[in-house]
Amino acid sequence: MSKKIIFESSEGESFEVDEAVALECQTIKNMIEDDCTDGGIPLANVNSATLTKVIDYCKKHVEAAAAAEANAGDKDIYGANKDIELKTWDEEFVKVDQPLLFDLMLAANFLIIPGLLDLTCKTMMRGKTVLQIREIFHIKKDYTDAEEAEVRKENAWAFE
Amino acid sequence: MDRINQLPDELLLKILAMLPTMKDVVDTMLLSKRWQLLWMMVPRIKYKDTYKHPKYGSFSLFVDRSFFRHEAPVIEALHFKLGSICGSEDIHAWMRSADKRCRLYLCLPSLNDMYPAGSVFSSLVHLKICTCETEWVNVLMCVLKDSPSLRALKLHQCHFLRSKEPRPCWNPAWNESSSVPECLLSSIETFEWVKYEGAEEEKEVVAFVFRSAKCLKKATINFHSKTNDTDKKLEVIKELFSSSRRSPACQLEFR
Repeated sequence: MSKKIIFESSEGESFEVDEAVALECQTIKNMIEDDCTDGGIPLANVNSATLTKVIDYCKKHVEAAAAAEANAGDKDIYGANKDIELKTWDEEFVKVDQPLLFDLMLAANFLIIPGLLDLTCKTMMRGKTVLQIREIFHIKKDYTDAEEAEVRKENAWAFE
Repeated sequence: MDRINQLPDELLLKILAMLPTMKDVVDTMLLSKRWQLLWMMVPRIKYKDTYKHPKYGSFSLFVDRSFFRHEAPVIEALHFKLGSICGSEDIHAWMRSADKRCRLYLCLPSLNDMYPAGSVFSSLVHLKICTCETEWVNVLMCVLKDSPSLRALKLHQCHFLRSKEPRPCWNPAWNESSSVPECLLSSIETFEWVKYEGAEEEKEVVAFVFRSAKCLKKATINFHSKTNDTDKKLEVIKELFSSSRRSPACQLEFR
């Protein structure tokens, strides 16, 4: 039986996962190597909803990597299709509301899960105009109208 | 709550780096004062002269200004998809300034005068060439010749094929030992092909790389998903396996 690792979310809820799944997180990998995971790993800045998603992501990617490994021996020629399948799964995975996407990005950054960090960063602003970005992320416009006009004028090359 | 404002610059730059092109990145300077100069530090740059259909003059000016104001100490990737509205003069100038980058991605039509003769990309380590343009092999051979430190070569059909024009032919002169690029003899360690279809010129290129690359450690060939014919795939794999390889230690992987 594989070794289990226990995560504890910010609400104090426990999540038991296979060590292989936990190893997807570089931060946890370092802790496991340093042998300081006994009694569970408290994640004070990751809530249960986010942690559930993060674990789903890591599980899926561990399974996909294992499947690819198993097939490599048979010189599987359908591997490319599996990559597409995983990509499609990733795309579905990040179809979540903005606050959860944001939490996922922060968790991926904190736990150091490069694939998930890229995926969430990519989804964050893509295909949105400046006005939409400002609205979605509640960015306070601190330019006065005169200042904004100045920025536009100085950088006219960017806005033609 | 303005959560995004609490993020460190490092993470914001990561988000900017994932935007489709430099135009989207530069636009963010209008968000707020914090974002005004942030775009200059983005670690990846992508220019595409078909994106949002710019006019020629304004696109050219845009690349000039944004490229020369860009200040990030390291550019992880520089990506040019040009040729629909840009002239060769622009491309020459931009390619020269691309010299100091360690990763370069090119999708160029390579009419003979598009590529600046006499370039040397001495710092270039990772090269990716898109195979969608009809004359991509010419671009590939030119850049290989001018990149003595290249370690990783990747070919990828990133865009739909431009047209049904005949694909480029392999020039037999490239087979002569005197014309083998230096990087194949001394530095290229990995070779990857994404969306390999097994067309004539593609076979020639693979055979050429296998035959010439002295230090190749790993070659990965990833078939185009439309190549569903298993028999044809097996045939191609057999052919690739039996082709002569200069680096016997090279690991072959098919996907």
